[in-house]
Parts: sequence; C-alpha cells; structure tokens
Amino acid sequence: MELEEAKELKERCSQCDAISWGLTEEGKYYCTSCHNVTERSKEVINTDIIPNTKIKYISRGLKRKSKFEKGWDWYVCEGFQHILCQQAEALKTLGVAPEVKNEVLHNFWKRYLQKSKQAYCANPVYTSRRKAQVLEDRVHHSDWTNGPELLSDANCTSCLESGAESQSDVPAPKPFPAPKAPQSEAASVCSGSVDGIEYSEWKEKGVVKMTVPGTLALCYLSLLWQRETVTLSDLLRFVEEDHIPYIKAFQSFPEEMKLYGRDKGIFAIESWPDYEEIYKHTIEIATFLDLPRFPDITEDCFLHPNVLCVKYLMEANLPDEMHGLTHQVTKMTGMGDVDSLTFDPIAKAARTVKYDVQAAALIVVVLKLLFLLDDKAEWSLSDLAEVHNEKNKTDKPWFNFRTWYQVMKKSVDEKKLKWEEARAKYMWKSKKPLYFSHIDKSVAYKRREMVVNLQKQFSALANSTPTVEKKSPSSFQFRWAKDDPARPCFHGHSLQGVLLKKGPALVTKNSLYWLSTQKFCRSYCKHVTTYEESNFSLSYQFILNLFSFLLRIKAALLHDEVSLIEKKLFKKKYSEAKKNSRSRKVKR
Amino acid sequence: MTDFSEELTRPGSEDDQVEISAVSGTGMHFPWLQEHLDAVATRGKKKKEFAQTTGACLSFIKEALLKHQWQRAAEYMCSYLQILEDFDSNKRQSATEIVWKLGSEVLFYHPESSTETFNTFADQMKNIGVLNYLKISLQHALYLIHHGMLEEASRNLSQAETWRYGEKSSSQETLINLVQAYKGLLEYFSWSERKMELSKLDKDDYAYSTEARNIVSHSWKTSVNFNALIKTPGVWDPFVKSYVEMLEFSGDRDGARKVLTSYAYDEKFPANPNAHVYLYNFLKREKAPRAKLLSVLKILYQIVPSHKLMLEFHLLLKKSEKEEHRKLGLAVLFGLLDFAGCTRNITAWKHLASYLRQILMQNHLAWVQEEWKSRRNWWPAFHFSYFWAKSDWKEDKDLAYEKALIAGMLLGKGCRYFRYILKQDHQGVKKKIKLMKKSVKKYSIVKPPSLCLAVGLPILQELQHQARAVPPARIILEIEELASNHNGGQLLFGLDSHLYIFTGDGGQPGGPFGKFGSVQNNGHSRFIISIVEDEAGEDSLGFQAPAHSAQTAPARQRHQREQRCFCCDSSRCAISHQAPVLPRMPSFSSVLCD
Repeated sequence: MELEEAKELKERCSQCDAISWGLTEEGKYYCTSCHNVTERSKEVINTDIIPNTKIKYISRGLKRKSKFEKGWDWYVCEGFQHILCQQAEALKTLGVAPEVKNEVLHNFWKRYLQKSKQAYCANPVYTSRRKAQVLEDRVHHSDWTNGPELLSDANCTSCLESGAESQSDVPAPKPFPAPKAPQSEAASVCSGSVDGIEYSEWKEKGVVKMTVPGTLALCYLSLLWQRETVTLSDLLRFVEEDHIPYIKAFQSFPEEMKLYGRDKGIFAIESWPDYEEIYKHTIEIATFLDLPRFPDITEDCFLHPNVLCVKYLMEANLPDEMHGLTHQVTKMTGMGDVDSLTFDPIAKAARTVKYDVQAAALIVVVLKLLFLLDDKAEWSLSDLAEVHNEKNKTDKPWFNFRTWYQVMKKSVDEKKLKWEEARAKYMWKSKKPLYFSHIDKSVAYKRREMVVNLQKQFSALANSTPTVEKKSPSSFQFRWAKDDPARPCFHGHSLQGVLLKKGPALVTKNSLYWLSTQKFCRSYCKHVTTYEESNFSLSYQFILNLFSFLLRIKAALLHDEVSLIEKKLFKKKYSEAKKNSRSRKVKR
Repeated sequence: MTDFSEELTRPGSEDDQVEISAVSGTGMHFPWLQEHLDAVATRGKKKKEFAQTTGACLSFIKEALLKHQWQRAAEYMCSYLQILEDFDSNKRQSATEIVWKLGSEVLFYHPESSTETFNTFADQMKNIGVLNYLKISLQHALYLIHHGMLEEASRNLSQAETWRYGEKSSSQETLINLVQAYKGLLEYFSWSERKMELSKLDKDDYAYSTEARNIVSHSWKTSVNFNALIKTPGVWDPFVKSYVEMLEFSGDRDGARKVLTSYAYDEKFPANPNAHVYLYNFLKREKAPRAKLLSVLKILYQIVPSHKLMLEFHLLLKKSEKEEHRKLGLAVLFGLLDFAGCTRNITAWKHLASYLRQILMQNHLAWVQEEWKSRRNWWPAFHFSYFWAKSDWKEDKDLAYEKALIAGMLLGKGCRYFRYILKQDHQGVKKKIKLMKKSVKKYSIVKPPSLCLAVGLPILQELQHQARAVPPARIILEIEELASNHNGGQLLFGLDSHLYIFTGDGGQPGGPFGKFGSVQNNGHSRFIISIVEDEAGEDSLGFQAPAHSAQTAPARQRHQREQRCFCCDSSRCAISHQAPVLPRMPSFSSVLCD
C-alpha cells in the first residue's frame, strides 16, 4: 500500500539512482533500496478523509506545524464554531427545522464574530493585537478587508450546512506566519490553539466573550427566533441526556486540533448548564448582537402559555378540564399578550419570558384556586370525590387529589432516584485527556489509559446488562396510560367535584385563596421574593417540587413566578377587596 | 480488609493542615481564614459539579458496600474511577487511596472476581499511587495469604522490600520494617512446618541432625527480618511470638528474654497485656522463681483483671507466705468475678468458695468485708438474683451449689439465691447440702448490722418475730455516722408512696460541711432520700436501691427508682395532705432542720 502510494514520485534517488520510494511515518519519502531519506514529503492531497471542511482552510492555509504539537493552527472562535455546528446538527436530528442551523444560527454567529470584531470587519481584533509583531508579514494579507462583503453574500446562508465552510472563507483569523518573538513561541507551548492565551486574557469593554454555555444561549436564541417547539428547560434536559453535545463537546474536534493548556479553561466544562445562567446569557448575547424584535409569539405558537399549559397538564397527569381555567387566568393577567410574550432585545429593559416556568406557575396558581393547598381543603375535597367515585362507577370519575398525589409522588420519586443515579454515574472526562502543557501530555495520556483499563476491569464485574441505555429524546418525561394500573391517567377526570354551578357560570367550591408572597422585595437586589420551604403547606411544596423537577430548575424560581402571576391576578381584586373589606377572597 | 475503610478520611485532613499552614505562614492556625479564602477563590467561578458527581458516586458505592451489593458497587466504581483524572492534584492523590480501598473491598467480596483480577488491580494501583506502593503491596500480600498463596505473597513482599522511591521517609521506614516482618512471618510458617516434620523423625536417624542444623540456620536467617521492626514501638504480637519461639529453638534464651522484657517494660511501647502474658509464659517455661512470676502477673492484673491467667495468679498468691499476698489473692478472685464474661466460670467460683472458707477460718473477716463493701450494692443483683438462681440451677448444678455457698456466706442464709437452691430437689447430694448449710451458718459474714437507720430495723425485726411470713430484712442503705450530732431522724412514707429517709448531714456544729459533713461528702450527697418501688419489682420488701450512683450497679436494677431532694440538714418532717409546699417534695408541710 505504501509503496503504491509512493509511486507518484518519479525522481531518481540521489544515491543509488533507483526509482523505488517508500513512505516514512512522518510522510517523507525514502529509498527502499538504499534507505536514503529525502527532504521531500508527501502532500496531503486527499481531502476526503478530513471530517470537517472547515479544516480544509486550515490545512490549506498552513503547512507549518508547531514544534511541540503536530497539529493544525486553529483559533478559539473556530472551536466554538465547531461546537455550535455540532449542536445545530444535533438539534436537526431532534427534529428542529433545518433553517435554524442554516439561516438563523449561522447569521447569529456571523453577527457575533462581527460585533466582537473577530471577523467580518475591517480591523479584526487579532490583527490589531498582533500588529507590532507581524507588521513585516502583513504585505501578503492585504486582501482581508473583504470580510464584511461576505455577510451580504447570498450563497453563504446555505454553506453552514456543510460544516463551517463560510468560516473557511473568512479571511480575518488568518494564520500569522512565523511569530518570531520568543514570547509568542512560549505562548504556543501553553495552548493548542493559536490565540488561547490571548483569548483567555482578552478583556474588552462591551464585548461578550463566547463561552461554552454561551453556545447553548445562541442555540436557544435561534430556536426562539424560529419559534420552535423547544423550551429552554427542554434544551437543557436534552443536553443533560446527552442528545446535544455540550460538556465534552471538544471531543469531536478533529484529531489535528490539539487542545491543551489554556484551551482547557475555555473548552472544558465541569458543571451542568444552569437554567438561570443560560437565560441571563441569552439576554446578554441578544442585546450584544443588537438583534431586532423577535417574531411574535401568538396564540398558535408553542411557546404561548395556552399551548404550553396543555403540555405541562399532560406531563403532570392533571385533568384536561383544567385547561379552561389556565386559559382564563392567562386572559385575566394579560400574560397571553403578544407584546409581553415577544422578546425584544432592543427594548429598554430587555427581558424575555421564561415560557416554561410561566406555564408551570400558571398551573400551580390554578391548582391553588381549585384546592387551596393548605393541607386541609384538598384532602376534604378528595374525600368527597372518593365517595362520589365509589357510588357512580360508570360516570366520568371526579378528579381525586389524593390518588393523584399518591401516583405522582411514587413515580416522581422513582424518576428522581434514577436521575440522581445517572448523575452520579456521569463520566465527565473525555476520551481525549486535557493537559496543561506538552510536558504533562504523556502523563495525562498514561493516566487516561490506566483509568480505561481499570474501568474495563470493574465493568466486567458489574451487571452484565448495561442499565444506562441511551434514552431516545422526548419532550415528555412521563407516560400515563389509562389501562396501566401502575401509571393511571387522570387526563379524562372531571372537575365537577370542585366546581359549583352558579347561574350560567361555574364557580370554584373553594372560595378562599392565600398569596404565596404578601410583600414583594423592593430593593435593588433583583430577586422578587424568597422561598423558605418550611413556611408553606406540604402539598404546595410537593407541587412546586414536582414542577421544578420536570423543568430541572430550583423550586424558588417557580415560586417567584407564581408570586408574580398572583400579583397580576389580584391587583384589581385587591383594590375591590379593600373597599368591601373582604380581603383575599376570590370568586369567579 | 474491612479495617482499611476507617482510614479513608485521613489523607484529606492531612491535606487541609498543609494548606492552612501554607496560608498563614507563621505556623499559626486560622481555620476560619482558610474558609474565607476558599470563599473568595470560588466566588467568581462556577461550582464544579465534577466534585459533586464523584461525591455522590462515592456515597452510592459506600451504600452498596454496606448492603453487600458488589455488582452495584462495581458499577459505580466504573464511574468513580474518573476521579483519578481530577485536575486538582491534591484530590487525585487522596483519591488513589480511596480507590484502592474501595476497589480491593469490592474485588475481595465480589463472587466473580478471581485472584488474577485482584493481582492486576493491585499492580495497577501500585503504579498509580507511588506513595502508597508499600501499603498496597502489604495489603496485596495479605490478600494472597488469605487465599493461601504463600509463595506469591512472599515474592510480593520481597519485591516491596527492595523498592525505593526518592528519599526514604520515616513513615516508609516503618512500612518497610513491617513488610520485612511479614516476610519473616511467612518464613516462620515454613520453618515451623519443617519443625513439625522434624518431630516426626527418629532422633537417632542420621537425617535428623542435618535437618535440625538446617532448621537452626533457617531460624537465624528469619529472625533478622523481625529485628528491625521489634525495636520500633508498637504492638507486634505475632512477630514477637514467632521470633521468641525461633530464638528459643536455637537456644538463645538470653536473647529471647531480652526481647520479651523490652517488649513488656519499655515505656515507649503502648500498654499491651499480651506482652506480659508472653513474658510470663516464657518465665514459666524457664522455671523462674515465684517472685518474678508474681511481679509479671501483678502488672497484668492491673491492666486486665479479668484475664484467665488471674486464676493462676491467685493460686500463686495463695501459696505465698506473705499476708499481703494472700489478701491480694482474695482481691484477685473478686476482681475476676466482677466481669460479666466470668460469671459462669466455675473454677473461679470454686476457688472463691474454698478460699473464702479458708480465710474466714483463719479469722481474716476484715479482708472479706473490705472486698465486699464495694460490691455489696450490686453483686446481689449481678450474681445472686432469682433469675440467676433459676438459670444456674437449670444449666449447671455444680456452679449453682458453689454460688449458693458463697451467697450464703456473703449475704446470710436469708439470701434469695441460697434459699432457692436449698428448696430444689437434692437427691444423692444430701451430704453436700448439709455441709453447705453448716459452713454458711458458721462463716456467714452477715452479722447484726452495726448502725443502720436504727428506726427502721427494730420494727422489721419485731415483725419477723411475730410472723414468719415476713421476709428477712435486707440492708438497703447504710450511712456512716461520723459526728455525734446532725444525725438522721425520721423515716416515713409520703402520700406519693415514696419512702422518705431523713438522714441529716452528720456534720459538726459550726463548720457546715467541713470534714464531718459526711452526707454531703460521702456520695449520699443529698439529705432526704426517697425510695419508691415499682409494681414490676419482685421483692416484697425490695428497697434494693443502690446507695451509690446507679452507674456502678448493673442495669437489671432499674425496677427501683431513687429520688433525692435538696434540703438543708433535715431530720424530721410532717406530712401535709394539702398541696405540696416544696416542688420536689410533694406532700410535706414542714421540714425540720436542726
């Protein structure tokens, strides 16, 4: 095989004049008869084997290899681009429309590069930083001002699909040939990427630096733009279930993109994405990108509370009839308004709605309206329902809070335990070990190998059936079925037991209500209220915990949202109630 | 293997100390400062959930190990191993030890693991935690020994012995000594096997002498291994024992004695009863004079009064001419029987019975009383209760006879135990019973009480005279009277059915609680004592409450409650049928103090 490949060289050997060449391991030719090694090396011609076309650019641009690491020179933003590309690919396999990747995310990313002056601009940040060093070499690269033109290029929108090819045409992060200063030489020792050190020390006012959580925020932004049927909590859950590359995303970098030293701090992630953190990041990036008002969230959108409530009612195994009530509450509070739902980063106080949290909070409020959740009313109501169900077995059964609680408690606890076990078993370390410098490299690889060996040994002793089979992605975490006695379904149950007919309208049997928060925090600390678990009834705690587990958020966050909805809902009633001196009573 | 886990937390704490001293620099310790610094360091950064994962994983492994779910533990081990790749080198260091301990535990118990898997695991771990190399090889060798692979273990140990990594630290030195000693122990094993074979050979055989010579030289070689370790302070029982055996075999008695004496008497060594036992056995084999043996056993008596050698000690003391020794002999027996483990030791009881008789015959009543004084409160319930009488009679009649005799002598013939045994069927041993009755009558130390709440006893004695149904009196509380005034006075039942005893404080006029503030100072510490009997109490007049604190008495005496009240120097009182005046003393209208 080797010999065959080496046939392209038709020169005669300088020592023995024979034409029979072989290839050394370094890709150099050697004479098979006299073992004389030439200076000529084999060109990389076959580009098909390179997994990502973006690399094409790098290989084209750079034949120079680093002294210490035989890899390509690459830039940090290229790393992020690779991760983004993979995340978009994963989203596509999850069933998101392909436009998210090709048009939206691609454009966002280009815009980001431009805004942060990393590419598509007259004076990219790298060059200005390196100006002094590479002044003499700049003559060759006089053509890089054409970056911005590419943005308007129509054919560019589709090219993200084939890897990050657009990036390959971006002239900005051009390699800087032969940095001669000893300082930069030392720098290349400490990071695999060309600009790893500069990037980690890069502090510029008004610039949002890209991070790995930032890539998720960008993904969410593009999903939001497309009004896709994925909420932020869903996105993070998919990350957690390993359907979207995030924690070890750098693993899939091509072999030649060496990652070590400072790159570790940039790309290695040691914690799960946090809902609030990503949420903040999203707003930050959106304002930084100076994005226009997002497409309207109307009533037929997935993110509209009416639709989301149906989803969470099904997920939480609550009766469908509750949807009418959530709809009413949405209307009364004005939360269904297009203006309040649509994200507008340019607006003065840019904020977007936490759609999923809001929908869950709506359901909590409705549950409070129906059952009061004071550890008394809900149980006496379920007594009534039980008696009724006993008597009329043929009718549509009344919703019984107690049986629902028992079913939910059991299945949530099971699920939680499984979740905790899966978290405890999660492997954080990638197959490619990370190290600080090339000195550590062998140690890191050796350690990796050893761990793999040990793991092999212990996995042989573990259960023969691997329990952690990868779940297929689903936006539902629970499955309820009517026929399954272990997971009975309450969707069809009626709310007759808790509603009274009064004239043409239905009124809740329970006429009381308590507010989750009496007084809102008005200070500048930004939090609305605090959630001290022990102050609240047990059933309220249970319901908060149930939904916060479904959304993988803190219960306090949901409590905040519930309080905010109540604030809107009872604003009018409060003033009325003051007049009638009947406080905290709601009748509808 | 299970013992390893207790050391799990240690490396962590060591690291902490290092960090703290590094921070403060001057050698001062500011634990709070470290916390603050940590908080500052991590405030900006995100918390690392890698640590959380491994922590959760560790607790799952621990849980699985506790529940003996080895497969599950192995499953979690797989993911726990990633801690070896932690970026934090400190954590990585301590993790190797934890991984080794957990892993060896799993491999030791897992039904599907074999010696090969353990060996490969151990070899891998040795190379990861270089600092733990010696420890791991030692434990590896122990594992091999456990599975009977002595040769492999020995090879392993000799490998570890020659291993060096950097400068030899002091902790490594002891470990190396330990490794050598274990190697010696293995050699000792083969040596003693050969010795066994030798004993089978005929002495006149030609092979015998050569074999014997071989063995002697072998023992010389082996004993070198022990030498270093035995000099460092510690508990080295198996090594010392085998070392001495080999020294003795090769005829080096002086050397053996030297080793044993330093092992027993060197102050640097921790107190070790076995050291004294070995020394005693050695001296006994050597037929050393009795005084020497006694001195060794005396120390053992102070460390472990319940040791089985105490019976030998007693016999030695009994034979001694010195009065002091014979008195000690009694104390030794009593001390031995103080322990729950010796309650069924029939030889001890037999010795005690005969010795008591002997001593009382020689008119040393004071000795017996001295020993009995501290035990009077709890021995009756501990040894001579109704329950013991029944069970002893059922299980071991001889023991019951011995105990009955002693009970009779110590508690008088009214004692429950004695009476129960007497009532049983004694066919064939009538003579024995007769003898027992006689000696109880003759030697019983219970005489009419000297001073014992003079108010109470006459009434009981009167009652006893009148009707035989009343059980015999029992002393429940005795208070020494030191001064002539401030004495006890009244004795009455309160409305709460407690018996109230007004003791006074036995003090001297003028000095409130001076030298003679007896009640204050001598453990009765309070001045009114009330005793109540629960319904569960068996005794018809069972005011058996311990006069001292309940801690010395065994738990079976919980039937009675004792309540004491504070009140200054009270001697008399009257009962009020109205509301209680004093909170802790219901139903007294007035308390009189003199």
